[in-house]
Amino acid sequence: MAIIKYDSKLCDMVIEEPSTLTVLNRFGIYLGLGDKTLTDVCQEMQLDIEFFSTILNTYINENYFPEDILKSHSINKLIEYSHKTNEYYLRFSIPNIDRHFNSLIQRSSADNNNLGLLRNFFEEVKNELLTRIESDKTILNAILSGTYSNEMQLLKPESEDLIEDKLNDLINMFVLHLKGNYDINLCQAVLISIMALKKDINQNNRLRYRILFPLIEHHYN
Amino acid sequence: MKKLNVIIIHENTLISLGLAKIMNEMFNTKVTIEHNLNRSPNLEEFDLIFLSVNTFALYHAQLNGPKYKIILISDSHNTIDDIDSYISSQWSEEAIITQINNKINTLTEIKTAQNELSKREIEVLKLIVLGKLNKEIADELNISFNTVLTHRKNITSKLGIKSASGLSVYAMMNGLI
Repeated sequence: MAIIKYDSKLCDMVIEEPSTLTVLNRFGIYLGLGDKTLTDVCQEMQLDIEFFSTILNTYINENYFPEDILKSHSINKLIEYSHKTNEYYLRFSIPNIDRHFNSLIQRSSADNNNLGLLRNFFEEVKNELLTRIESDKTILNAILSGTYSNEMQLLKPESEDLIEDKLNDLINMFVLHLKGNYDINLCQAVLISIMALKKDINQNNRLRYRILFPLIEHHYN
Repeated sequence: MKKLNVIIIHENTLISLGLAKIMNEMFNTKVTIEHNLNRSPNLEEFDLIFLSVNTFALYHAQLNGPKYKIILISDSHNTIDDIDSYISSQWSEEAIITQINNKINTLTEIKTAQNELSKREIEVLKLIVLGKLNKEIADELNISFNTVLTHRKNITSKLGIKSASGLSVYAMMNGLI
């Protein structure tokens, strides 16, 4: 997708890349965008336009690398954004998958062991994600409160990659290997909600590894 | 999903037509009916083969390979050794469909396994699932460390599953452990 500029219309961005709705949500921006540009919305909401456009462009474009990010002073804003992202997983994404998965198992044939196994696998991935969220919370809050020390370690990308690998495995198990009888519509709902979570984690990881981690290392290590 | 290529070889026209109707309505199939018992179709080409007891005897010589693909149509319990699936024209439509459905599921599983993982890869997969390290797998199967890595890469590529716990779930889903 093209780079979002200060005069880009947010409605065009959302229609072209619907996943940006979650970013707008984290900045408290509601729908009914009209033909407002990035500048209009930032003025109205009193947002830092440079920070907002950096987040959007990193989220949307795999090849986008913000320049001079280490010189910026937006670490607190990034931490706040990371907290909102994690809150979104805790309050919406994970419960949404849980809800659909429970309905799928309740309404599918009891003799289909595949669904129970996939449910257990999701529980494993979910627990790893919850551990990462808890670790983020501790460390990022320590940075905000000035109690951060070098001994505190953000979870390394190697261990986090496993969460993405496992989500990918889970998706492939549904798409490639699922057998037996099940409610097709509920199964589709589970799969779509897992795919949405995986996409959001992947996109946010770019913010995490290209901006947040280097900023923390730059300022504190 | 690819259409199943099905052949019905039976001396009774009504049974053949009735079965073809069930197959077309209930399953994603391309059905061939063969009444002329003097012709000898290549049974290897078909995914599922319906035979009467008489036609089974007629084609017996060329059935060694595709025997697992056969459903015998038999009105008595006088079934034939090595043929594990049969239907009877006396059965209800529901019973016939259930039996055919079970057979198709089994065939699909056999086909998937054949297409996706080799016997050696399945052995490696089972050891991965047991939590064995690459070195231990190499020792146990008497193959080199690099061969184990190649097998692991192929397993991941074929199944689309990378993590060890994902592979365990796959193995359980497919009755490998």
